[in-house]
Amino acid sequence: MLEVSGINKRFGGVAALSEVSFSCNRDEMIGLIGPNGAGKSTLVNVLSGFLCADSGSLAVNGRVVARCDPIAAVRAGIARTFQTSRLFGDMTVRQNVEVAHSRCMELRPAEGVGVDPEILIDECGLTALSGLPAATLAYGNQRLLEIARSMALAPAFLLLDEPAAGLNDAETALLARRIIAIREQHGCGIVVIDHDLSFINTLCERLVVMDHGRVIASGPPETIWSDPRVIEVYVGQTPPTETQQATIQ
Amino acid sequence: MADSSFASAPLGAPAPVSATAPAARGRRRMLRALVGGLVVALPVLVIALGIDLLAPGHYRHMASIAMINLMIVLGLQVYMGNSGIVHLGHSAFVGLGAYGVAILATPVAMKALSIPDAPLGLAQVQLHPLGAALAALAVVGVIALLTGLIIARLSGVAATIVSLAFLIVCHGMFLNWPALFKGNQAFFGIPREIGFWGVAAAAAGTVVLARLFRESRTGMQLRASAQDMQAARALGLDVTRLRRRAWILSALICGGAGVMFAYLTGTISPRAFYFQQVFLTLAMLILGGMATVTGAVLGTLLLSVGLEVIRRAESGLDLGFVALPQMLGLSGVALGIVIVLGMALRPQGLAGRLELDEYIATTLRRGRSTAAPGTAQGEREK
Ligand SMILES: Nc1ncnc2c1ncn2[C@@H]1O[C@H](COP(=O)(O)OP(=O)(O)OP(=O)(O)O)[C@@H](O)[C@H]1O
Ligand SMILES: [Mg+2]
Repeated sequence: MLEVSGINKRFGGVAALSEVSFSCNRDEMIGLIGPNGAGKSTLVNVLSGFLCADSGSLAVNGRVVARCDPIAAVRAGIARTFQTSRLFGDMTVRQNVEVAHSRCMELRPAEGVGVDPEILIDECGLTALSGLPAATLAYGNQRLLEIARSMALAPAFLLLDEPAAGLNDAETALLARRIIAIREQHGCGIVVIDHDLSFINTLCERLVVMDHGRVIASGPPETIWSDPRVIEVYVGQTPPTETQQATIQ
Repeated sequence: MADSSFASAPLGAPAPVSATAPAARGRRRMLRALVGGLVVALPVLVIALGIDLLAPGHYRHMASIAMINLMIVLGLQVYMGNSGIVHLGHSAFVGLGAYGVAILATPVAMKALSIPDAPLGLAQVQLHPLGAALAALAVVGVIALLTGLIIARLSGVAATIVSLAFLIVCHGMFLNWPALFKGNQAFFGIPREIGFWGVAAAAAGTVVLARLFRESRTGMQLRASAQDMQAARALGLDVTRLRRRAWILSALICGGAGVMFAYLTGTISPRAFYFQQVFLTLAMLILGGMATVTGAVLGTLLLSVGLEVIRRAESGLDLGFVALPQMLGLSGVALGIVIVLGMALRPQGLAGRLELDEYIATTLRRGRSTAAPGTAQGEREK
């Protein structure tokens, strides 16, 4: 169980996260959605120890995870990917995954022994490319490699920040199937962020909607899409605020 | 490279039952690294043998110095090549190693002349050369540990500046503590314990050591952090600790090169371990390519030979059909030109991304797959 409670984070005057709370079961796949600048990536950064929250706490399976410490997050079983893929470009596909697994064997040896980098690479359909430098892969394969690398940490919870960004429809569909297959094999909780709502809908049983740093709704898709606050955010009756405009990339 | 398998790779196909467990594969990787290191060390030994058998006597000394430079370049590669941080202070460790054995192994009678007032009664100490070498390396190790506590926390320019400051501090210490280091004057009378083949063996061994480190868990993780620091953090890598380990190993290798230098020449002075050596070895590494041990060997070989040729041209050269005039200062200019050209044409260095043995394996595999078309998958790009 991943339990996020009462997280606050301000950047200067902007409240990027206010009182964010939600939880995710180990067998659950949650969709985290919301407009640009809602605070989704900031939340991932806080949960993975990249950023220090001003207040709030995070617990995995009842154990509190030390704040602002990426190593503690990995040790607790939290793995993450990035909104724009970040690979070890000159290293081969295989080495990218092996590096992660070597660290897993140091931080989570009990979980790590059950993980085989070669099998992960295969599950992501990258076996034929495993000797190539990661930087030479097609974009879709780079996103898959990032997921394979995160899975080599034997995570209990995987945070995917816009894994389908920049992919075409066919690639997105394949990515969704691979994510489902990997989860069936390895069984970890997944929090997936994306703007592609049909991608999110194929994957997730439950959605958490954020806007302006707050969780405005959460629940199964049917109830979410009939929630007036969500409709307001998504149909866009209110004009975007200045901060939102500033973060549109 | 065309990469079309994204859409076509089979989905949900049963994963192949892996023949070997990851742990066994890890051991095999280190074995491959050992063999790879030997493949890269082989040319060093072959060249040494060639010089020993064929070349006139004074080449042996030149080659010995070149092989000591190779050790220094390898020490530099261990830290700089794997961490991606420019290091300008490695010659300080060379100097510490050299002065360490100079102070500890030089006969007492000799020290009565050169450093009679050495502190801690060091003027009365004379260790066995091997013991002196180990003690000198222990001192280097302790200093590396302490400096590593600071420098491993730093990235990029900050780390480079601190390494430079360390060089200057050590040089200042050698110069301004004459009671121990004999100041500006040469420290003479060090027992000449090492010969040509001793240096060659040390250089070859260091090649293998640097390669083993590169492929080790620490080396791989450190190289990954140099490629993308944020991704490294996401994997929970302890980059500070990784850098500290590389820094210490690098220092020990450089210190070992200093020990060799002192035992080879018998005379040392602070100038030998300063900017000139720093830049020469840095140029060798950058020219060859800092990402690989092969690059360190290649760069050292090319610049050592190149500079020797130029040095001869400097003092006038008779090519038989034409006699070149004396051209003093040529070597500095030529060194500069070589570095500029090398960087402009091949910024990652001559050796690039692959070690010699990996390059050979790739070429063989490519040859095989052109013989049997349709099997060329998963091979390296260049
Ligand atoms: N490192 C930072 N420093 C200052 N402000 C930041 C920083 N990171 C994010 N912000 C601000 O925090 C707010 C939330 O940004 P965040 O990147 O988390 O949004 P997001 O929901 O991921 O948006 P998107 O869908 O565009 O990725 C924005 O107003 C952004 O400008
Ligand atoms: Mg984002």
